[in-house]
Amino acid sequence: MTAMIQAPPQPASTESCDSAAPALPETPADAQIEVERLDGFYGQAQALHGLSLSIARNQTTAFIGPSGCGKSTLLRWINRMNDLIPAARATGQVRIDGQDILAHGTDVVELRRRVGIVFQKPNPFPKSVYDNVAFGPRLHYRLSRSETDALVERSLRGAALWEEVKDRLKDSAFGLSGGQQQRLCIARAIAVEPQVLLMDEPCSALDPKSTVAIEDLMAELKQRYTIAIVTHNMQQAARASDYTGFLYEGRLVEFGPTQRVFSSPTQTRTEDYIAGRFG
Amino acid sequence: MPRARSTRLRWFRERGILAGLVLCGVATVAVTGLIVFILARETSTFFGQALTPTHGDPARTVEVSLGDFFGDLTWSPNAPVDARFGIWPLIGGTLQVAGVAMAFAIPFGLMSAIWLSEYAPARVRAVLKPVLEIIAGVPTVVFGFFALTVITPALQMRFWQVPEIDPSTGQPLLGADGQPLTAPLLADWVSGYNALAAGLAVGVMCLPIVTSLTEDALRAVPRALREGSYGMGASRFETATRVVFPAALSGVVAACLLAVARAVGETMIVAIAAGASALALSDRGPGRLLALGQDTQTMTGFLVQVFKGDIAHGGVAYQACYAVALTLFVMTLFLTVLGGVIRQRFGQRYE
Amino acid sequence: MSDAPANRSERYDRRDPAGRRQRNRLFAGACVSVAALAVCVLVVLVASVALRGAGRLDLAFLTGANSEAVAEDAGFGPAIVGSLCLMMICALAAIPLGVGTALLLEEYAPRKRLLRWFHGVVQANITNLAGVPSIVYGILGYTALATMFNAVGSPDTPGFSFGARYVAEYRDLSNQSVFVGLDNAQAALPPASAGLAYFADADLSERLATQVVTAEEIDPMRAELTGALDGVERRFRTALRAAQPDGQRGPVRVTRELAAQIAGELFDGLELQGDLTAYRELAQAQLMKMDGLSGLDLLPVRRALVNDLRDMEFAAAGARGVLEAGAEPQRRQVRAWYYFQAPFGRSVLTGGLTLALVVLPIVIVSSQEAIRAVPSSQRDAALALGGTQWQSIEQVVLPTAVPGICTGTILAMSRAIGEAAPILLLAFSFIQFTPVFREGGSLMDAFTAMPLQVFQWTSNPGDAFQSTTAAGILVLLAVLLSFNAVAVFLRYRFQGPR
Repeated sequence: MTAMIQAPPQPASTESCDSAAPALPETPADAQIEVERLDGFYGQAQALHGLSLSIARNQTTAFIGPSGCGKSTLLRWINRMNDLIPAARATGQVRIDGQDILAHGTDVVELRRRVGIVFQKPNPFPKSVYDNVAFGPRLHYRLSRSETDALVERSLRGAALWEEVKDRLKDSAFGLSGGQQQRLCIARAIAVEPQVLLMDEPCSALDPKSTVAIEDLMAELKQRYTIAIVTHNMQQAARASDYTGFLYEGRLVEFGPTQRVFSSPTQTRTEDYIAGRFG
Repeated sequence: MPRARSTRLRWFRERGILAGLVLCGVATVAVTGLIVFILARETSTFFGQALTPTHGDPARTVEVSLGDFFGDLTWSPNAPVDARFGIWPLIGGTLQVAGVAMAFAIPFGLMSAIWLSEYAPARVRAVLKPVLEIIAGVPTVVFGFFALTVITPALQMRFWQVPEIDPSTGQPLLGADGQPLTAPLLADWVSGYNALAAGLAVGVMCLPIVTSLTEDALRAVPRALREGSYGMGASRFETATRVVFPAALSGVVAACLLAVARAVGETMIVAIAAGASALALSDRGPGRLLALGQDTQTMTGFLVQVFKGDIAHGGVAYQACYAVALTLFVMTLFLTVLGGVIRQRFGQRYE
Repeated sequence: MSDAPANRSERYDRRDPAGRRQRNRLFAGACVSVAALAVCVLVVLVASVALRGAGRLDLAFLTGANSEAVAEDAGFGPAIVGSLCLMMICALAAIPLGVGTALLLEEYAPRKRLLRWFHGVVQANITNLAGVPSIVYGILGYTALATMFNAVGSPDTPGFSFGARYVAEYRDLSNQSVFVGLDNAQAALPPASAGLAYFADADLSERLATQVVTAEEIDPMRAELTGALDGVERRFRTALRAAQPDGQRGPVRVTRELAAQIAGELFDGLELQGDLTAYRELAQAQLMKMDGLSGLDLLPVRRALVNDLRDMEFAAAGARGVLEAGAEPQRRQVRAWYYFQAPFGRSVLTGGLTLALVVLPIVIVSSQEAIRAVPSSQRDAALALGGTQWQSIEQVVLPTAVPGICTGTILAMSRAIGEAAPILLLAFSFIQFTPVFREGGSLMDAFTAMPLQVFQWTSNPGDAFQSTTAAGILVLLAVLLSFNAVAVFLRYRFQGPR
């Protein structure tokens, strides 16, 4: 409990060291997202059972658990990606800055502008690198040529991709490597300046080197964004997150500061999972 | 111990079956080969030969050169004297009909495809897809009848009859029974047989082709791309038009080209509803193409005219139909090959 | 770079979210109306056809033969039967060829370069075949199947044939045909001078074996008959004159009793072969028609009576086959149901095969899709157990793919049944008989088909044939819909959740 919090193997970045506080409170003091008694269904099947938790502003919150435990479903309710699945519905509340986004009449388009998402598999559009990044901003804003250029560069720099692609902005995004594609997707997501960034197993399709690059990026991004990440990789959760929630069969088993959850879990199931006894 | 099957027998059977299947494959290729061979052979007996005219003195033979075929602007195979064989009026007629058809089918087909793939609830799609399939399966003679008896009267506004006026005297024309003759309001602009009605009917016929092929292409775009777009706060419209549609563009273009090929090759509708007089391009030139309300003749329309026996076999007009068929074949082949190339070259492979 | 405020975006010019929403709704609305338009077109089409055609749709229409001139008499029977025959042949030809090609393309992935090239050629070729206008297939069918490039004789004098017998055909007095069997095509025709007789109600096979009557036997027969009828005419005249008051030449007053009396006298003492009562009734009826007529007006009625009587007598005597002496016999072919010839001619077989070529690409592509849908793990399992390639296809792939293949094939058939262009050059839209299913019918029969008949009717000037055309279309659409219904049923039955 007293040890250093900076889980990620430190990159050259020094900024993230600032957040080195002695210990985080069990429940985040400044919660940007509050989930309350969230039940999620796919048709008749219940995927989420009464989840209640808070996601801290400008922190990274990781959700771990075995496959099918509902962690991706939870994430996809936070920006209502599940609306796209005809049979999916949810009850309960998800409040972002106090506003219940599950309520009827929520403008999902506006919601998703504020809450960006990065998916498991990199999914660049079949367009140029430049157009991929400019896609979101062009949806929401009227931009001049120079504004777009600046925004694309800033987003690509923000995703630590600028140096690699600055000479091939007009090339197809499919020409990039898997790790680059995923960072492009992150650049694309942050180009619309969201307040929250959801990441659904962003590294599971990537090689270890790209994974490190993305984890470094996350450490940097949390200065400006609230990040929620779903991962099945416990080391990643331990390295890259401030808070961790463990889900099992659609229920939140344990939630707390990462350091505490990994070092002294209160639930035996969490302990078993972390120890690799199942999942 | 059960006796094992003879391996040698098996080997022979396998070989025999494979040979049979290869034969099937060869047969399909042979069909194309035969088509090309027949059309080329018969076309070669059309050009540069002394052929009996369709009408008039059989002794005055007609000779057509390749230059006439592609250089002349008049198509009058049945003229008793000075029969002319310039293909352009027929190509023009084909373009008229295909143009009208595509102007109808492509925008509407694309829209309904986008709606079906991106908007429509599953239950609606389950109803509409079979409806489209039924429209696609309606025989083209039925569309021809439809064009002749529903579309043309509607275009003429036949329900609104006006008295016919004798242009020389300015008096109303009277029929045999003393009653004034009437004509549909727009009869002067739209004749009983016309390119517009035929084109619209061809368009209706092509609509399901464009729709279902485009929808296939749109649905082949992976979910992940849609999610990426929605995840950034794009509306359905924006996702459909800026992500899904561009991603499927090669498939969409290929679908449209296939529909164009279908429209160019469509036969019965134009034979029934478009009339049988080739465009008089030499009269007023390409502007004549815009007279969509008048009757016209397409390449396929001419073939039907010959085949249904309006023109005697063996004469020059009969031989001409092979040259026309070859032109038609080359045009549609070009369109299909182009579609295939576009799909191959620009098609994005998603795993 | 990274120290910009989080809500930096606010300084950009926001697009109006309401406008975006509205554009989305507008587009969706436009799309719905387009889709609704497609449905409307179908409804209008069906309604317009049904309104026009329903009145003509009766049993006579469904079974009757076509009429060129009178729309009310035109029937659809030969066309319906013709279309069904075409379908049979088309299916029998297209399914094996199409499924075979699909299997080759999907199951036998080649490793050798030459074979790979062949695969590519076949696959590309199928795409191209699908785009060839169907009327071009008509030219192919005509040249390659109907005439076979004139390489093996012509359709009328085929280079190869079997299942045909040859007969000598004579014409009798009423211009009906009389046949005498011949041993083969080359056998000499019996001389016409020999004459022939046959029995009117004997069936064809008996007629073919008719005995030959010599000229010496015929002449007395004819003389006797003509003499007898001449006698009737003479008596008729006399009896009529006697009936006229005072031998005047004015109009005759023919009462029922008078007619009966004359008719009775007419046949008094005559020996005829038929039933005298029937003759009397006929004569009486004709006499009644003379009521009020005079002079020259009487002539046609009288002539009609004599003709009627002669016809009756001929039929009754079984001597209708008495021949005009000197009429030259014609050699004619009588075909068995299995008749076959090598240039196929413009026959049902040619039509069916041509349609098979038209729909071949559809059959191949849909079979390919059905075969591709079989999970490769199942194939691997069959092969891993030591099965040969064909065994895995036969036992695993085909059973799973059959519903899909059937659906595609039925849709292909429904396309074929509606095609008119390819058979335009091969069919005879004016035929009156039912192809194949008739006496002496075979696959080499001339044919007509539903869409072709419809086309022929639409090309009639004026509106006379409109309701007939519409009725034909209704039948065609009904057949198509039932095809489609079967296909849809198959798809839902077998492609549902598994």
